[in-house]
Amino acid sequence: MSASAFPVDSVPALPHGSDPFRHGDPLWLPAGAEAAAAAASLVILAALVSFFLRRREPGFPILAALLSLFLLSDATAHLARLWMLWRPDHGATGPVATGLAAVIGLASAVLLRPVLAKTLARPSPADLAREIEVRRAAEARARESEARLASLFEHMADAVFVVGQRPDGRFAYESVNPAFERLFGVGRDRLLGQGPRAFLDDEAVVALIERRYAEALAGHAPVAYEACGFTRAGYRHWHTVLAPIRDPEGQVVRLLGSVRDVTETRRLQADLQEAARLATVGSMCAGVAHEMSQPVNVIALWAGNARAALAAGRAEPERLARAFEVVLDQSRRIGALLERMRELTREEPAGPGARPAAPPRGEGGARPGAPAAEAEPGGPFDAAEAVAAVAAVASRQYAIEGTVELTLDRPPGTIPVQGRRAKLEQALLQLIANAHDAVLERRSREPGAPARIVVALRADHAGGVVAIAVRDTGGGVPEAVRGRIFDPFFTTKEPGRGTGLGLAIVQGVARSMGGRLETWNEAAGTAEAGAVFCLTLPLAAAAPVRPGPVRVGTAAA
Amino acid sequence: MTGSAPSGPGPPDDAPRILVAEDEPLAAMAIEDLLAGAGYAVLLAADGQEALEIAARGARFDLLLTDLRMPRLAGRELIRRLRAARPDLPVVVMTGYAPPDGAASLLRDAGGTGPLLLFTKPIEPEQLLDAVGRLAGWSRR
Repeated sequence: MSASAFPVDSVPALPHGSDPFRHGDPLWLPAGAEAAAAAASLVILAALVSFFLRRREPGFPILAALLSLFLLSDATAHLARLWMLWRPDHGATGPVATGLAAVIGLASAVLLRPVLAKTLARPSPADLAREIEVRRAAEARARESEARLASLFEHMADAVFVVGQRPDGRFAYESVNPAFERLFGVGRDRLLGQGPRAFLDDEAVVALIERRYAEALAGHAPVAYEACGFTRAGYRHWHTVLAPIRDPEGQVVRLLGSVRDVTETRRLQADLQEAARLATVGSMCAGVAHEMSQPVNVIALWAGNARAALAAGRAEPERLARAFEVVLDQSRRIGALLERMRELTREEPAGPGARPAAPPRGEGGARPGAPAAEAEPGGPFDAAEAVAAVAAVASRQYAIEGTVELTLDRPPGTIPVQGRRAKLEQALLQLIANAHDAVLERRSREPGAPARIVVALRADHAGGVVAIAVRDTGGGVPEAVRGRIFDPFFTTKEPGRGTGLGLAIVQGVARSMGGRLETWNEAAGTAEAGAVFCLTLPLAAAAPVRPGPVRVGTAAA
Repeated sequence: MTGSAPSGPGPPDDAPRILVAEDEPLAAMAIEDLLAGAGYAVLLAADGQEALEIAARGARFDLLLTDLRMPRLAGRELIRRLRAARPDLPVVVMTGYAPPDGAASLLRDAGGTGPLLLFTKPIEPEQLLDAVGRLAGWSRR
């Protein structure tokens, strides 16, 4: 190739406008520049490709491809010009290659903009690093909380377990905590994969526990139960709550159970009940001894005196007759007391048919050997009429004595209840007598205190109950004895005045009619202070005893 | 039957006098009969308070025969108060329900130096008369 081979105007398209021949520049300078530029483009291209091959970030390959294309076209243009420096006569090859390179470069430049925007929209490595940091912190927290939970599980005072049901229906513990191991005296290694038989011998208790497990699984709801028996750790009484655990599909295949050891609590409760029972028996015996000793003493003294008089030959018929009278009276007093005691032991349930046949019994018990009335459950009767009759008798009596003013507060109409009318009357008389005693007792201390008893009758037909309340102005029941006043043989009255059986009998009557007896104080600290004893009884279902006047709205309480 | 002696002339003026505190009227009457028949003079009180009032009026008596549970003033307190004035007063107690430790707590509460006997009801008339006979002369020795 020679310098003369280059025509002056043969390269009009030369981009850089340098004409080595026209200015007489040596040829190697532009050639070197073109070669260097092409080499630089190619080196950058190689570096770029190698970089992107190692960092395959999302979105980058297109960007890399475009940049590579541009660099490739740039290198091609430089090489084409280099070619043309040496072969200016070669026709269209050089300019075509250059033009093609320019078009490709332009296209990649145009395409670069949207691709760049798209790539930039993706999170940067810094963003990713931050996100990773956040996730790591969250994971650390989760691990910490898991460790705390595990530690809680390990150190909880209550025994905790997870139990699952095998496909064959057997129950198997999946995890238990140390408290569980301690409570039942069996190590984890011998419990996991086993059922309750691992710590219990008593098949009945095992069956009970497995029934509860099955119940909690089937019912999909928490189940609580108490069980007791001999475990590997000795006799235990425990309270368990089972909570179903759902798997992601919502199926309940295992239970979380928590067990509390109530052995000691139950033992104390049993001891307490036994102590209370013994105390009741003790106070009953003391009461019986005191109540019986008075009439027996009188009998012994009068009989002794009569015998001495007979022996001395100075017995007078009237005196002997008087002695016999006293002896008989005192025998009746003992008989009445015995009858009231018998009454206590009979608390027949309400309603016909519910009660087993009872032996014949005395009615009222005033006379020993009196004809016994059959203890039939009784039919429906009008409580309003019974209450009114009792209130009238008591009111008349107290008016004659001039002791207490008794008033009746009742709605019009009948109030049918189920049971025996005589029993209810007896109970009500007892409550009124107590109120009377309380009023007199208070007036012996405070002569100016009011002396009133109000017997109030209220029926709630919607609620199906009737309340019969006896309210006095006797100062109220002292807090100290409130818990004991229903106990048999407990009395606050003067010796010889109360047997301590009255309220116990009233309570028995209330229960036999399906009701209850309650007491509270009213107007404490004022002149009107007093106690209320309230009998609440269920109304008999429909069918009143006899047609009464049409009810008016004032009846409901 | 009245509060006076059953028959014949009353006891001689120098007969030993017994103060009886008993709230059960029938028992009190029988005890009065029993004691009067044995030649004692009897002062009857329906409860502890009345017995205390009889003593306060200056009535002479040689022995206290009392119940424990009585209205107004119980036997235990009656004995304590009478013994405070007369430490050597002999006392016979009749009770339907004896204290768990027998006469020990009664003796402790009563104070004084006189004898104290405890009888549980029902009372055996002969035993009561025997005890009263032994103790009635105590303060006269």
